[in-house]
This record gives sequence, structure tokens and C-alpha cells, in this order.
Amino acid sequence: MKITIQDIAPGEEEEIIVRCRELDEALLRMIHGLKTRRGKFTVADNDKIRQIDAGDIYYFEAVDNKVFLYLEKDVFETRYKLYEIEDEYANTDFFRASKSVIINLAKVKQFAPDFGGRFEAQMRNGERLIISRQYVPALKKRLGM
Amino acid sequence: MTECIKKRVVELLLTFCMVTTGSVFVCAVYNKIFWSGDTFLDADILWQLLAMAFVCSLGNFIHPYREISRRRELFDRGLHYVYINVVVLGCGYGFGWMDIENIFMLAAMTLGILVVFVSVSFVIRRLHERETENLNRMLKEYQQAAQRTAKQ
Repeated sequence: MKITIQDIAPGEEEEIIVRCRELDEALLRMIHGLKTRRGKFTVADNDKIRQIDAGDIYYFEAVDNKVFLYLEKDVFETRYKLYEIEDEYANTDFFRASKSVIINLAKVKQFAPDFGGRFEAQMRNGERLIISRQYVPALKKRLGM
Repeated sequence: MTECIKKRVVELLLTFCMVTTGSVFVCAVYNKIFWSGDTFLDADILWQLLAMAFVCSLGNFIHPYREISRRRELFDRGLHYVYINVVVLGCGYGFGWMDIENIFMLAAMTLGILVVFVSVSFVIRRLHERETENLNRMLKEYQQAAQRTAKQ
């Protein structure tokens, strides 16, 4: 595969164009890896502005029309809506687990059974999140079941 | 939507099969205890059991497919149990399986409902646990593949 790297002018937006006959699994994984690693969220941390790598986020949760992103220990409010995050990070590790939560599959330690066909996602930081039954088919599809 | 309907139909059929099996067992035991020697079972009872099992299975629709709280889920489960009791005892009375004035028959029927309900719930739980094991296996493979890609 030929790889071309072009210099761009300062201020110009960085762009990756994939030219291929078909998007095979390896390419999709590469794109998803790029999206996950390069995605950054700008949040207010007291009086400072902080950039958070998407790969460090455990999950997003919507509470009272506000969206919060959760790291291993910290929580920040973000100005994005859940559906915007869902669209932007489609085909990455982020997965819509319920009406109000998007989880990072890379940060899930394991799943556990819950009531009524639901599952519980046990995160690597010890938190537990519910995966609603209507999102279970999508989860299975995402994991290749 | 199609996925939802498909899943609900599969759940309905699975529940119907399990409830029918449980009902046949309970019917056999019940008949041995209360009607032994007195009657020869009419073939209609087979249709009656199937009809009862089907109406019981419709109780699955008490649980909505949409997202609900854990408290609502527990409430729905209680309501489901009450619904099944009403259906089975109603069928017992309507089809003449029990003498309404015989308290032991009523108690045995109620116990039978509890046994079948618990057994079906247990089987569903086991299936859910097996599904969870598969999900965990796939999650591990997914995360390992993502790590391999990251290293490349």
C-alpha cells in the first residue's frame, strides 16, 4: 500500500483520505483507531481549558440536558449532545448503551446479566452501567456475534 | 423495529414451550393427587393446556421493550406473576380442573403456578447468563484485536 504524506500550511485542517477498492476489516479498524486516538474533547477544568483524548474517556452520560464525560476518576461537562457524539464516533469504541449513556467498549472490564434482558457493563474503574435491552442487538453486532 | 418484533416473537415462542412443558408436569402431578382413579382425562385437556400456556405467554407483553427503571421492572414482574395466577386459576375454574370450594386444590394449583414461574424464570436467567459469557468472550476478542491494531 502506498502511503503519501503531504505538508500543509499552518492553520489548515489536517485530513486523511483513504483511497481503496473496498473498506476491509483492517482498514475499518485503522480508521476507527485513528478516530478514537485523535478525537479530543475540550472541557472546562475549573478556570482552565483542557483537552481530553477520546481514548481516555470511560463513558458519556446525559443528566438534565447536560452531558458529562467520565474519565477514570474525573468528571467534566461537555457541550456536545449525546447524538452528536454517537454520530461523530460511529465505528469507534464508543457505543450507545442506553438513552442517556454512551460507553467506551475499550474500557469495559466485563458484562454481567441484569433484570429483564438487560446487561450491566462493569467498567475498568469499577463503575457499573446498564445496557438497555433495545441496544443489546447492536452490541452483539458490534462485537461480531 | 423489525428486530424488536422478531425478538419478541422468539421470546413468546420460547416462553410458550416452557410454560406448556411445565403445565404438563403440573397437570400430571395434580391429576395423580386429586383425580386419580375417578376420571379418565378428556383429550380436550390437551387443547386447554395449550390455550392456557399461550394466554400465559402473552403476559410477556407486560414488559415493554423500551427502557424502564429497575423499580418498574420489578413491579412489572410482580404484575406478570399476578396475571399468570389470574389466567391459570381462571382456566382451572372455567375448564373444571378444580373444585373451587376445595382449598387443597386451590393451594396445589397456586403452588404449581409458583413452581412453573420459578422454573421458567430460572431457565431464562441461565440463557441470559450464557449470552453474557458469549458477550464477554467477544468483548475480549474485540479488545485484543483493537490492541493489535494500535501496536501496528
